[in-house]
Amino acid sequence: MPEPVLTVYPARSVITMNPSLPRAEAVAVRGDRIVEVGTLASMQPWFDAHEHIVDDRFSSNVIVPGFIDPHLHPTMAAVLLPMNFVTATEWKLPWGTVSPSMTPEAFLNRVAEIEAAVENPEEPVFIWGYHQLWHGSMSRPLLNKINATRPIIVWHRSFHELYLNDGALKFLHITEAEVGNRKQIDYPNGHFFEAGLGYAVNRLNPTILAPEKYAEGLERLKQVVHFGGHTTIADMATGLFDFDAEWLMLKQVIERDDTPFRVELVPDAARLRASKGSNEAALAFAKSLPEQNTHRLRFSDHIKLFADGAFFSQLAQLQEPGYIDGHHGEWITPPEKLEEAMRIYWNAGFKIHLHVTGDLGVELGLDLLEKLQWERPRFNHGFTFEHFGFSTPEQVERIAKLGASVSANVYYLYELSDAYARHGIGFERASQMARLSACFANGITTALHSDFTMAPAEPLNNAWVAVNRINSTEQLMGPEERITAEQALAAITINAARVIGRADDIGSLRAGKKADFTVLRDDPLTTDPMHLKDIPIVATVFEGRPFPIERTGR
Amino acid sequence: MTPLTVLGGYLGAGKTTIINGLLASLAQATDNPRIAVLINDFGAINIDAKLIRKHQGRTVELTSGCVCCDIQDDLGSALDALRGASFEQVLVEASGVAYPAKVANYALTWPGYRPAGILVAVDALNVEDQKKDKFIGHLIDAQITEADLLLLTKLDQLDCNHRQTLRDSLPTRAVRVDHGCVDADILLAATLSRPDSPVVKDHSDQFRTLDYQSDRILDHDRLLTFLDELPEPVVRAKGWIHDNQGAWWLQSVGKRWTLEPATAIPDGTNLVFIALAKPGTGAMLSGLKHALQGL
Repeated sequence: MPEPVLTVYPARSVITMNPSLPRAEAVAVRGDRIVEVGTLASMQPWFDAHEHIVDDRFSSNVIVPGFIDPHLHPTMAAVLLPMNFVTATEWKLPWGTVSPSMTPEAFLNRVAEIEAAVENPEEPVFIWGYHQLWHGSMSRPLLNKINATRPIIVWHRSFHELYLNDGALKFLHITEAEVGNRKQIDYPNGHFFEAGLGYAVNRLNPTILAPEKYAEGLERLKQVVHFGGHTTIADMATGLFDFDAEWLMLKQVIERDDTPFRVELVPDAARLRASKGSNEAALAFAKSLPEQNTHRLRFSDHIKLFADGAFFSQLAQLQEPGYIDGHHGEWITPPEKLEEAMRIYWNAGFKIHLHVTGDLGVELGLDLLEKLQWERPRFNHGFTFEHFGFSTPEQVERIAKLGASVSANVYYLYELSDAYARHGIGFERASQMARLSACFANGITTALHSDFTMAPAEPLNNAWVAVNRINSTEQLMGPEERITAEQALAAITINAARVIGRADDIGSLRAGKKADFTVLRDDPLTTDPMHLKDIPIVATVFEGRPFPIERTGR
Repeated sequence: MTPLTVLGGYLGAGKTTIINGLLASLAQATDNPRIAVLINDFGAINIDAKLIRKHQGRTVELTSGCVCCDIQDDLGSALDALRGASFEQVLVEASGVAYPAKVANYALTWPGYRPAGILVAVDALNVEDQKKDKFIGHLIDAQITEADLLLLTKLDQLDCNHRQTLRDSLPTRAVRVDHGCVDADILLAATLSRPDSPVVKDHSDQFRTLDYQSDRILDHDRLLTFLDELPEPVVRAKGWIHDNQGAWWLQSVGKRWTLEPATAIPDGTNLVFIALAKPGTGAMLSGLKHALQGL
């Protein structure tokens, strides 16, 4: 067999994220790996020894390490992506950019347009993205005006409420006799929330979780992930719905030659425990999972645990002074149970990823980590605080001292800081969500994630939020916590690789690493920071194979 | 509509022991009500194999006619699955970190169910520390506040002085539960929800009961006032009533009472009141009887 030919990609600039050689002019690739990063001249010894071709398709662009989203939920995304987005903020999707609908009229007009475009009069139309702050009140009569017979289902942006028109009520066999006088179901307005939401969702599940729908959703997710410029994502709670079904579908849809990215799979410890009967049995199962690894799908020694409630629902657990209205957050896992599970995985050498949203959640994570460090010290233990909505400067110092990492959803700041300042926790704390500059100042490995669908799966957009800290109402929030463009780029490449335990292989460009690149039209480190999110992504290269990105719309 | 009772309380408060005790006692009684118990973690329930008729997936059928289902984070689906199965009551074990009132909302939302009280188990030995805990203090307070009736466990491990301090600190009525033994009458609405059901007489020395029967038609307005003013030692009241506005089932759990329109019940009024036995309870019950005669 002939030796694989070297392929050399010259670029306007190569940003390596390797501090020993931050900038270069070209990358030479053999098969799926980089053999050298440098200049055409420096690579000459390789060319003398091996056949090579120069592929100059990226020569006017900037090559950066392939983007990594270290926390995303393919399964949840697969449920959402077949729906129609009508949102107050912009979503760039492969099949078109969703421009913001910022008024009640704009929202209803857009729903009517979408509805009119669907030919089969019986096909249900799913809308996602309604939010009362922009779109005013929603109701069954308003949806009936668009079309009373076709099922129209409107999801709130948070997924915690939905509205149904007459057609949808009929489609789901929900009658006034059945639910007319029940709490948390407003039948006249077709509004289902809290326990009432569960009632409607149980009826909707056969439609939205049907295998063909789920497969369609995963196909769309593949496009979304590629479109965002990723070459690696982590599924940060495999088994959230149904482990076996998810794993089967991931193998069918993702493990294919046309998929330009790999997925690190991090099982959900609570779900594993529920299905296996005990933490010990769950641990044994988690340890066995790498035997099933395929080329693109990989389990390792990472595990997901949950502390406090959802950020979007104001269920984050807060320290004093709490929420303005006096309500309290929730624990997803009772603190004692969390400690039990954490100890088992800690002592087994696993890297623990802990979902924390509020500063009391962070505090619990820190107390438990400190306790486990006392009982059984570990270095390079990979403990990661996931989401990291609210925190204090003192907690950031403790995170550093205990050797933990942070994987932050900075998009909270963009979408929610204004509303949370006014209706949640006040300006001071709302403006300091995602306390990222402090993390970098303390030397903490800090990554950014989308938690898609909580935020768009666009690393450059997250970087834009982290660098500028300008929210959706164009206010500057917590300027001291802005990070530099270079830190933001690290947070979506090398630091993200560290957080998911793959820094030896991916996350920067140097000889020996996987040939994963993202190719940009503009230089993210020298461009105007306000332009970061709009830098066109030309292509990705996954394990040495270029995958161009066709852009529709703008 | 099936009455739905929530059993809440933090980890270690004794919810599982209480449920195990209830299932065992129902298995021994004859003519016991058919109830469904929805539990939060199957692993913790240790049902005597002799009592099990069938175990299938998330559901265990007992020889007593009761069933036990694992909620697996999806109470709604469990409630859907029970519909049409004609249980006389559903007892839902809330997760240790749940706000029980939120769980009770399911009884108001899910068609086919009506709320029948929030019971919250409280670990008497540790509750004072738990209330001060920085992570769960608020939750413990909320669980206690949301309860209609508290079930105090591990009280025997507390000395007398602390027992009184604890009782004084609680905002609502509380019954003592030793080693998971609670009278089914306290836990369940169902024991008097059938005209032919036997009233359980052998309550422990913790309780005194008053049975009241009358053929008289009561006055509705005076009845409402009477129920609002039921004195603190009364932890349960149930039965049927005929008054000048119709026929009703009465359910009271702790401080909360409900009247539901009733059909197919015998004439007259038949009530049982269960009160904590303490000094003065006898006189209080006599007073209640007297008051009932004046309604």
